Amino acid sequence: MARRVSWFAWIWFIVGCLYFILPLWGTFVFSLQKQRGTLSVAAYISAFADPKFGETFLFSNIMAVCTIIASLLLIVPTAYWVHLRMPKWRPLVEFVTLMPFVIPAIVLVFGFIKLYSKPITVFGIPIFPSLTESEFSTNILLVAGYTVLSLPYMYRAVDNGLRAMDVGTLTEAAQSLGAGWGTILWRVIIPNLRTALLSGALLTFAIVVGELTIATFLARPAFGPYLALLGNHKAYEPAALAIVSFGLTWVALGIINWITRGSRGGVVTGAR
Amino acid sequence: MATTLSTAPRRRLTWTWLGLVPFFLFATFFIFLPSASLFIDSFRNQQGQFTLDNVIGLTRSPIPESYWLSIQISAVTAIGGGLLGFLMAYALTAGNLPRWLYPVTLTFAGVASNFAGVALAFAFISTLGRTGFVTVVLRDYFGLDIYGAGFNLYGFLGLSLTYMFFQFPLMLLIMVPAIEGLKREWREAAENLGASAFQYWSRVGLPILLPSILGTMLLLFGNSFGAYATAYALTGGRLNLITIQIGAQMRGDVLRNPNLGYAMALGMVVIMAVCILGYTLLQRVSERWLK
Amino acid sequence: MAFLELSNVRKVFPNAQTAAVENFNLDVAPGDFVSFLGPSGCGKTTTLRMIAGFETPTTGRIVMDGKDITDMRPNQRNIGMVFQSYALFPNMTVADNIGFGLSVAGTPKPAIKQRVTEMLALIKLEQLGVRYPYQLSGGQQQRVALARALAIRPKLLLLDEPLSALDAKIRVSLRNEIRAIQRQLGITTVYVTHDQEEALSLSDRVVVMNQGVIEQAGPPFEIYNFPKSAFVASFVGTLNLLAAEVADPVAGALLVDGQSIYAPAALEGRQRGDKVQIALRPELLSPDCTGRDDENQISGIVDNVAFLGAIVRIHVRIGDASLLVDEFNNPHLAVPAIGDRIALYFQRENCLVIN
Repeated sequence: MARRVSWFAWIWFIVGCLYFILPLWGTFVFSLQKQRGTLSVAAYISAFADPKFGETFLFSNIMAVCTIIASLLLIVPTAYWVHLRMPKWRPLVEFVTLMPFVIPAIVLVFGFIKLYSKPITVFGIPIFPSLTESEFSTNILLVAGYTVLSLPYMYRAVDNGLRAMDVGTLTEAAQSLGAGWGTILWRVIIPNLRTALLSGALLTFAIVVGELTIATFLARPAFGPYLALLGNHKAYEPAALAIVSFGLTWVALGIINWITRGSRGGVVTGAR
Repeated sequence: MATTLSTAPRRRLTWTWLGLVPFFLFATFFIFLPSASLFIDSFRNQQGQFTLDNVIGLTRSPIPESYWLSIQISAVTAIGGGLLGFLMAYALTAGNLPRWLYPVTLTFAGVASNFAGVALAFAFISTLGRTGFVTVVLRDYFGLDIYGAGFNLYGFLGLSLTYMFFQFPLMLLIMVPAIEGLKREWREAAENLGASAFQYWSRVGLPILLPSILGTMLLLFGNSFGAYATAYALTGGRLNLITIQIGAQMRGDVLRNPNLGYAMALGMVVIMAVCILGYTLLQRVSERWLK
Repeated sequence: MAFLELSNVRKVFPNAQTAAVENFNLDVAPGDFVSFLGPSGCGKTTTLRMIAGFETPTTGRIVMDGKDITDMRPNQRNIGMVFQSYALFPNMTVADNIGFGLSVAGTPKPAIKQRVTEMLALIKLEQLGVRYPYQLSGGQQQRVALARALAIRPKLLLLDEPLSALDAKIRVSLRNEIRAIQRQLGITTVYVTHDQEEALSLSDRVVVMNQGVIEQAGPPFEIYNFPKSAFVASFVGTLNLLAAEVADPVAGALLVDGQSIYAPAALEGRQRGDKVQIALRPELLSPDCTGRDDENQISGIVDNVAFLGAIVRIHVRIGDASLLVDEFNNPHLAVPAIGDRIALYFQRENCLVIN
């Protein structure tokens, strides 16, 4: 077939590229315009100097790490088990991982507040205190919510990783050499899942750090709500932080792409 | 599938399902129970008695308008984002562009589809706001005063443009492997039988891709429909989307009837479920053909 | 007057060190069934694709029915092609697939319908017109692919390893069907395969290719019985190869494992002590002696006796080499035991000397 390049293709490609680049470029330029008449990084300096920036950013990062740990602890054994022992349960597990799409964040947090801001009672006897009473327990709720959000992506990453290695045979080989389940998971399966786990973790990180919905309604001092509040008072600092945020996402996804180069099964995400 | 140790002693069997317990326990407590709680109480009134009033109350203004606005924005961005994403995917794969553009574009798309929420809202305010970069450039260099002409970033069009920023990369990322899944032999067989490039695409290529395209557009629709953060950060809650309404509910701003709020959430989830169902069914058809 | 002529066709892919196809010259008579036979990478598929128009020759010309089609676009050549992976359009029914070429050409619907019905009858799948490809078996899909290629009444039919993806049993029945249809329609056909049994049983002529060049072209009988090179001899059919040393070039005497045998003719250009190889077909060796003067005798030890149904295959070790001897099965056959010493006989003229 002739390999003639069509102008039709080029046009749409350029339109798409412009749509990507223009807003980012525009934001970048805008963020440099804090000092009237000249381009400077004053907005960045001002943004970073705000103590609340450091506090909320740190908080969100810690929440992200907790989410990643919780998510991995939950997903990896489950995915492994389904692959190996209970393949008939796969449809049900995959159904669960579809739930975060069907029940968006706003509805999820609505449900959380409804259910967990009062003590849980069975026949009038409180058996569990309200999860929103203390900061610590609310943070647990926050991490749970984030884990739910990251469920589909984490599961798909791990599932793809398991598919790429012959889980059944590796397990049998390890068993025949005397390994127990813990050893198998820790020394055989997980090392081979490193790439998938890293992708899932980075994706979760990207999702959690800028998250707004759940953090706002659970009234936690996260980076997302801070950013939204900033937008009400200032013009240039939000733009600067948007660029920073974009840069972080870029780095996270760049790392994912680099470590998963050559393997199939891209993990995509969507709106919030 | 490996059937290891099928004659294992009974103790082994009880261990097996235990492995999935943490997962389903988590799902129960943090997905199903909260949602079920919302849905069940949407059929109750504030005294706890069963009633359909709340569901009926969904038909009373301003709620239907919220749903309708959300549906409109979702439809516009799904179709707009879907078309742009598809055309760009086509350009990248079948349009014979240089190969090195591939990984660069896909990385960009991965980042862009993930760049939503507050930061995206700020990005568009900085670009198309009253003093935004593009607004100023259009005014000073091209003499186009878009705000003078009635454009408003914080309205329907502005929000749609903002949403499209993550919609069309998502479409791109899903469509690129789908278009590459078109076997080269189909193209050759069609050519061999006398078809021109246009005839190939219109009779073979596009029809085969159609389930994938429609399914992904449904996914985009759901994506947009459930979005809260971007809309809130951009319009401050002024735009009457259903997600914003639910958010206002939780703040205790609007209605004095929380059960009505639950019903609104139920309505949302029903719509999302229909989208996902449609997407799953279309994916199945598409997989069967592209085998 | 040849129907299809390839003259000095050469194909070099960009960034390649060697040519994929070199010095390819072939004339195909109208109505002939020609096979391109060779191992993977020999250039047979590339040549076929050049005839179809999916690749362009670097140099050389391709002329079909008097017209130079070398640079013609594939959708204008009116050549039917059947692909290895069937390539049926999954979004169309069997009937729509078969009628595709006609529909693209703007044929009126009633004519298409009639032609499709004819084709379905030809491939004996009359009831399956409304099915979709994924509902058919591999063999059925390939027949539909054939019908689709033939529906447009092409001047030439090309088949690219059409049976490779199918089960052994279906392969045999389907290849006979293909040949029967081809004979019935009298359409000139080029068939690419790596399976020599297919090539030999189906073709009027076989073109054996290796590393981009034609090793030998001719009727199956000739290729098998009179191979021109070691490659053709070993690729087509089973062949025994034995190391030998020249004893007397004028008399054509050779030494194999110290045993004396005679080649059909004098060994020109050779000297005493040269190392050569002799090739022998298994069916031309026999444990029975006919007593004629031009018979060679060679002895060895029986390694294995394999019962293959109609044939009994005896493995005989002679020195370092192992020889295969094929005998027709016969209930009264005296089958040698493993470890027995056995004497084998073959006609002098059946022995082929190669470098």
